[in-house]
Amino acid sequence: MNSIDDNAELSKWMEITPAGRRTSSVTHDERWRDLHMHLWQVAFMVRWNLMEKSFGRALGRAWIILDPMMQAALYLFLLILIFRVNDSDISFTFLLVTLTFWRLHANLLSAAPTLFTSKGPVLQQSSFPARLIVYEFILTEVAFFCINLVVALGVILAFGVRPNLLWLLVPVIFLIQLVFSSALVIFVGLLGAVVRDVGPVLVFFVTVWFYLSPVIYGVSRVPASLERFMYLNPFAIIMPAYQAIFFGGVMPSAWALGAVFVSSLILLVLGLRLLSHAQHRIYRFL
Amino acid sequence: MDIAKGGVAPATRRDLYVAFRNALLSGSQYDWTLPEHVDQSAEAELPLVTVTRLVEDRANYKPDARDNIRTYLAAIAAKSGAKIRASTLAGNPGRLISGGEAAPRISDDFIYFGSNGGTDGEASLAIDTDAGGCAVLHCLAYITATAADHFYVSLEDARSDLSEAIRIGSGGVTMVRDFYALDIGGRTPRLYSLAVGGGFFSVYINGALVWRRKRPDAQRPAGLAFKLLGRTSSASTDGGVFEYEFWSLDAPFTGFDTDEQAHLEAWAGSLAAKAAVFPLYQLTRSISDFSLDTNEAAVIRAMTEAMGTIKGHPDWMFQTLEKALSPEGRARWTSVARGLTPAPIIDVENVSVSFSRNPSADLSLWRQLRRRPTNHFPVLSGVNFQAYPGDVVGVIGHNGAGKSTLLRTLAGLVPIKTGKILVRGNHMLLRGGLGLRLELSGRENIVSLGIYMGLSYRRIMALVDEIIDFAELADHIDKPAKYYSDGMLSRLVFSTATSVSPEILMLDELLGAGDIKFQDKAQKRLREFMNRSKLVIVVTHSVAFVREQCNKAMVLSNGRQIYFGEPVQAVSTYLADLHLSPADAGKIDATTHF
Repeated sequence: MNSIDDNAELSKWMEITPAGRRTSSVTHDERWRDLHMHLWQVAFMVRWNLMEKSFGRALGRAWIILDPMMQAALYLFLLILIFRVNDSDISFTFLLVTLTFWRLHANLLSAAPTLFTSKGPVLQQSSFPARLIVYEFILTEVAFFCINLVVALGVILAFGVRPNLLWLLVPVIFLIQLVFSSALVIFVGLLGAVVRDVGPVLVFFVTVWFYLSPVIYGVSRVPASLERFMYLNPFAIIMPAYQAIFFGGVMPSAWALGAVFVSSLILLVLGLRLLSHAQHRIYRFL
Repeated sequence: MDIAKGGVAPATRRDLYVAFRNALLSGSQYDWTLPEHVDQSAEAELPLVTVTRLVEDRANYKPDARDNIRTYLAAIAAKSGAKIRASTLAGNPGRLISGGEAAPRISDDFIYFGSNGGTDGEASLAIDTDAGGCAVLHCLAYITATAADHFYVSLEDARSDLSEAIRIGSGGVTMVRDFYALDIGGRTPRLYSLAVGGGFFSVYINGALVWRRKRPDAQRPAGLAFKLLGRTSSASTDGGVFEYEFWSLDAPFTGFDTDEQAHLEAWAGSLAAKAAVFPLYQLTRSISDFSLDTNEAAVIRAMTEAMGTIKGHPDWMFQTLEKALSPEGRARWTSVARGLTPAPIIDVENVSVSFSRNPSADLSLWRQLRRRPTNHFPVLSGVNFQAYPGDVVGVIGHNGAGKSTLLRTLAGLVPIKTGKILVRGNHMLLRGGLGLRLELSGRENIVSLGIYMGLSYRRIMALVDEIIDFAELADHIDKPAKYYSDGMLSRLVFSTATSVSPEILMLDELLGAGDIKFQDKAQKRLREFMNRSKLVIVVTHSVAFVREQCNKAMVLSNGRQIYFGEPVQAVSTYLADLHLSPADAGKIDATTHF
């Protein structure tokens, strides 16, 4: 067999061995071109996912906005009329905001185990990068979240919550949450492709996580003896940060958020590296 | 000389051959030409014209014509020291055993097989023969089938794996054990002679040697059989045998020609002088141990010329010819070829792939606790081949043979267990159904497919109109694909997939899109498409495509590469693998007696 170096004129090559796949190096220009191409590819796919949501329905794309509005109405009905929630630290607006942010995390995590298996034909039949499938999935959920958030913000403004300058920090906290959720999506997605039991276990796990996170209660309600354990949960830092900004008008702890961000970022980088290595390996599980 | 009326002895065998040829071409509807690699002048002096007449009008098969064949064969038998054990020509047909759901119709001088209507036909003839010698079966046979290759002539050995058979089909004559096909239609009645013993199996057609292979000395044929196997309710698979004769010899059968070797060498020389490399390859391939020593210089010249003119690089042909050269000739050829041989674009070395029968179950807690090994099975094993610029490689095999997995492995989508693959150049694997999103419109699906094919936005947008036009979907393109028929969807996929041409193109079952009209158009487009790509690898079930469009082909069977090389032989190997194992083809079914 000729070695790769024998034929320098063929600049693109791919070598496959039992150890894995190796390809020719990519130039700076090619990398830039690929990035540009991947951006529009993901943008198109997210757009189609949004369109598919309304396909075949009489009200068409109106459902994209109707869905979160109905969700908000349901919370309103349940929390105010049925449970009569109106404590000093817990209110309908408080719950609507925290639930909106939590739902993004829960949705991402619940669907992650089938992320790669649902795209099996694409991964099995083309060299389409698996990371783009992750980005498509996350950004689609983020798009739906943004619509939900706009509706939620409209409702809380209508309920008398006054915006302040600290609201400008919400995207920063959201970014930290997204990095954390994205890292988990990759690991759970890969694990779910290999071990099918992950799906049902995760439903239970997300429910427990929800109750262990200060989503429907304030941090002040957590007994002091459990506080140090509670802060092992990143959402015990993220959710109070949203609450502080939206309802307390106080600056959240930058150190704690920074620690979550750094550890989430490390997880995400590791996840992407694992994904790049595993794309060639998960074929047989899809 | 009026050969057609019954056999006046010619002055020389060449005179006889020319006379026959002229007589036959004047009125026959049949193509009597043997393959170019067969020494045309070696066709025996047989009154075959009478056989042709028989097909057209049975009444013309006169006793005097029959006498001619008998006299001729008797002379060869006497020269060879053969004992005639059974002969329809001599009124000694042997003990016939036959059966099956539809026994063949046997008249005094004719055995007819027919399966039209969904039945098998089979006739076997058991002959007692003394051990220790060779056996030769001559038969005048033909097949009228238009759709099948199921008519077998075999020399039976008690040990079925030592039996020998040829399969006579409308598209070729196949040496069953060797999976080798001669591109010669079986619809023309010919004299087929099979000789077994003395360490060789030889096949003669009309007296000309077309195949010789080494065999174990232990072969002791004890009978002959004609079989029409396979069923079809829609196509005719009829076949007929006019005469047969079975000989036993104490010494190996030396052929019809007293100086066969010299004859073959002269023929090889004439082919080399014409630079007819492919017939030269076929000749070398057909006759084992045939050496090109005496024509070496001309052969190397012809090979060098071919290297620069043939599209692609048929390495199988050059390797076979090289083996037939002397060591000095091989060294000369190596030095010449070094500068001419292109670098392979795909280089596959001993690749194997295995899958788990149930990957998720391998990780089950129960299995882990019991420390059971994972349940893997080989999907591909021992795959070796090289493909060069200009090659069109066909991959054929039965369903589940591993064809699609091979393409995916070459595309880098499947991890390999052993071996190494080197792919040089941009490649693209195309197959139907990739990334279709039925909720979206046809136009959006074109973009979606383009995305999965790795095309840039600008490139896809530049191609959209042309794709819509080719797919003939202009009136429906903005409708959701959900409302498309299967044909419309396959047209959409095919048109998008074939809108670009990468350096290395891998096509998986993309040849059957749309209706007949669209398929014609698609075939044209595919040809243009293949011309633009440096290398094309096609997974297909279309044997016609492999024969006509490919310059090399691979046959996969249960994940094993059972053949790689000449497309015609690959098709033959595939058909043999698909229909019947070689051992089955030569086996007398003990339940089919009458």
